[in-house]
Amino acid sequence: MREGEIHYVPEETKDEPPSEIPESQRRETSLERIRRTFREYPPLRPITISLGLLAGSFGGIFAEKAKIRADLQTELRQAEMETKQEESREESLKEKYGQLDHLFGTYSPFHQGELLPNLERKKEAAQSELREFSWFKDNMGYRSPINQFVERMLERLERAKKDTGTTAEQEPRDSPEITPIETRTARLEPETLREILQMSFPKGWVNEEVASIEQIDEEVPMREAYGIDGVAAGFCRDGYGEEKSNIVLAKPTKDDELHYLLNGTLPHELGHANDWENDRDMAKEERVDLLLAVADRLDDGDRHPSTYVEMIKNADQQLERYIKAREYWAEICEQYFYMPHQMNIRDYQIVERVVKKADPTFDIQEANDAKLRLAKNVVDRQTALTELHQP
Amino acid sequence: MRLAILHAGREVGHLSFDAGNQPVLDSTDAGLQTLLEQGEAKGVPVFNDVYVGGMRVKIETFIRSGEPLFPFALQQWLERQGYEVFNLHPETDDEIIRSLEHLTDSSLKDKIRAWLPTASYLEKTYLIAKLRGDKSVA
Repeated sequence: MREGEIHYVPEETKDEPPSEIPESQRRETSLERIRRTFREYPPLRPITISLGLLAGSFGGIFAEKAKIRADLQTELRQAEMETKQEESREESLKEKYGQLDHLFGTYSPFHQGELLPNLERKKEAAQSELREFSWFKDNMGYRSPINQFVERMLERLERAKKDTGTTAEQEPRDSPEITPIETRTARLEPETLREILQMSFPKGWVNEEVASIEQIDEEVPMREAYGIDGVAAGFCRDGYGEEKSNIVLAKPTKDDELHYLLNGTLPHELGHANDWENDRDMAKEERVDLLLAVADRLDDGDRHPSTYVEMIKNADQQLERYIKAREYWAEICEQYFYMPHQMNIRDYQIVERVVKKADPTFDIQEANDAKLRLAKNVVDRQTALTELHQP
Repeated sequence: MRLAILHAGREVGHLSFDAGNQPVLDSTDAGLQTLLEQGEAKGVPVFNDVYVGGMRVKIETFIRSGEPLFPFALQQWLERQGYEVFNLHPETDDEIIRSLEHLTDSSLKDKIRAWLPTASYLEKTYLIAKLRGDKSVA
């Protein structure tokens, strides 16, 4: 063709499809290349398969490790966040802590300066675990003792729900271990007492806070044992919010009427088990407010009169005051579960607030009616048995 | 202090105390009279909690007649013997009646006076709190 000459393409040839590319000229795809390599080099197959399996295993292990590391980082972030939340909560409670310090000094369980030991430990444990984490060391399944503590704290924190406290329905509970209880009137079998307790106290007050109620046939002379005049009528190992309380009734309680056991001794002890120190569910703000409300009543002229409170004497005035507060709470609980209509309205409201928080559906009148009915059944049964065995 | 004493749902007596904390019983119930005589003669056992080495111990001690806490001790002891005992709080009735003097509505005063003998201590203290304007009482 000369310059400028236009090459003419006939119409009938313009839309013709391109002819097939010969096999030798077509470019090979990646997959075809791999297949060709395997065909031409057979030993590659088991090596590749083994390498593939090994890579898969390592991949699996590292994926697991990555998950563990991510969990530890989450735990640490969680601990840091909870510490921050708790610090801000503490800040808002500062004024009330100050009031409690003024009233009870170092005996206040919320004494300022002893800040957040549990959360600090939790944060330290999470940091330590993260430091010790290794991609190559096999520490899966290993839990150091501090981690068990952290787990318990985590469980407790979840249970406590610091902003609102927990309510009765949130987790299953075991009812306490109970031994037969002898009174002057009647013998209470464990199942009967368990039923009475379930019917006459708010949900959670017994199962959540008491591990056992037992009676022993012993007299413990206090002077020899503790240098105090008197005979031990009972022991209570308080749980201090970590564990449930254990109640042991000693020999002198066998001379009491059934009526006093159900309306006096047990409500008093359950009051202790559900106070600001021992209750396992109360939010911190509720504990502080409860102690302040009780402390407020100690000096009132119309406070509930009780030997439990008035007999407490201690050279340390703040300790005396704190123990009086603990006993005052237990005494107004006793009164609430026995004769609420005979309470001062201010005492009644203190107990009612705590009871309704734990069990909004609790009705004290219904509970007392049930207790009376069940107790009467026990006495009637005992009377019938006694008459049966009389000659 | 003035106590009403019931047994098996029936009122069996009233107990008050003189200036020397000696009991004055108004009752014909023989069992109650015997108990009171024993209490006056030997003292009455009472429970108290003592905090010892991480445990709380309930101990039984004796309070003698004439001691300042004898009225409270007697109340606890009678309850342990199966009686229902409650404080009549006569000073509360007096306070309510005094507070009524400040009310101008005479029909309301009459209603309160009529209601007073059958009202419980809880209801009376609630009324006093409201009359005082106590905001801590809901």
